[in-house]
Amino acid sequence: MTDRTQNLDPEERIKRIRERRAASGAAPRGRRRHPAAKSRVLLAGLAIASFGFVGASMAATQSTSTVAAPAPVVQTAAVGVSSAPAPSPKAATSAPAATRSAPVTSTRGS
Amino acid sequence: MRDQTWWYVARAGGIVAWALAALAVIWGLQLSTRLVRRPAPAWVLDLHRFLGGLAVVFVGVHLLGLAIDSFIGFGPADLFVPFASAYKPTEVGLGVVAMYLLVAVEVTSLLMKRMPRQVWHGVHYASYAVFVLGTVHGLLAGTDGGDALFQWACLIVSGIVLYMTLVRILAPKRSVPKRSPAERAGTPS
Repeated sequence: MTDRTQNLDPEERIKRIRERRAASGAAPRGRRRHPAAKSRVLLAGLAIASFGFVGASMAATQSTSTVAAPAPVVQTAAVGVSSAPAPSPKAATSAPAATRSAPVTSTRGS
Repeated sequence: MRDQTWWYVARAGGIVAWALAALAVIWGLQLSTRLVRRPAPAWVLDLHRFLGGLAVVFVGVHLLGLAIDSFIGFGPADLFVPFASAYKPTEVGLGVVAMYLLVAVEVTSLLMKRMPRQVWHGVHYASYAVFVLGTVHGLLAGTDGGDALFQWACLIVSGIVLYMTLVRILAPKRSVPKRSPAERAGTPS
């Protein structure tokens, strides 16, 4: 479709377009479309995908290290039986975790 | 759901929130420095705002994961009161302060038209503190702070932010005859 206002100067063109819209009864839009609407969707998808990828990578790394770990070591003096090769620094520095009564079988600090 | 799932949610949420906040800062610096001339300011501004909002959302995910996960056992005081955590109080406290500053920047940006521009501008400068505190928090408090990939990412992104900040400070102010409404709405001057 050819725009008949194309050859006019910008101000006159805007005026004509407004007149045309007013004549057609089209109400002015309340909200302007975001200039980066498509990029927003793309970015949100990318962020969610990254979130999933990072989380899955952590889980995969964790399960790999658990599989590769040596045979379970029974710690008679410790709070429980641990399949971890060594207590993680995180667990060691975590006061609440250190005082837990439940057996610690996790290697989550890696 | 596996018992470690929320732990991964917390860690991944924190990393993504940091990356988004860093991108928001870089996007904001791009608005004020125009280092890359190609993208339209309105497009950059729109994404800058969106990145900030998305960073807040992922900080929420980070907090949710920490609140639900039972490994460290964070309570509301650990999550919302700076330096009150039993686990690495200073390092975790920096993250809590960064969170409040991020929320302040976001809220003042949403209410920008209803407040004096100088107030908004002053609060907006806290974005730098958000980035620095968030980075230090991630490196020192986070389990992934020892990860080489994360350390390199922090180094590269910090270098970019530092470079753009220096450009902004040292570059002579350009005389812009007329600014577009999009620029007037949100470009830090």
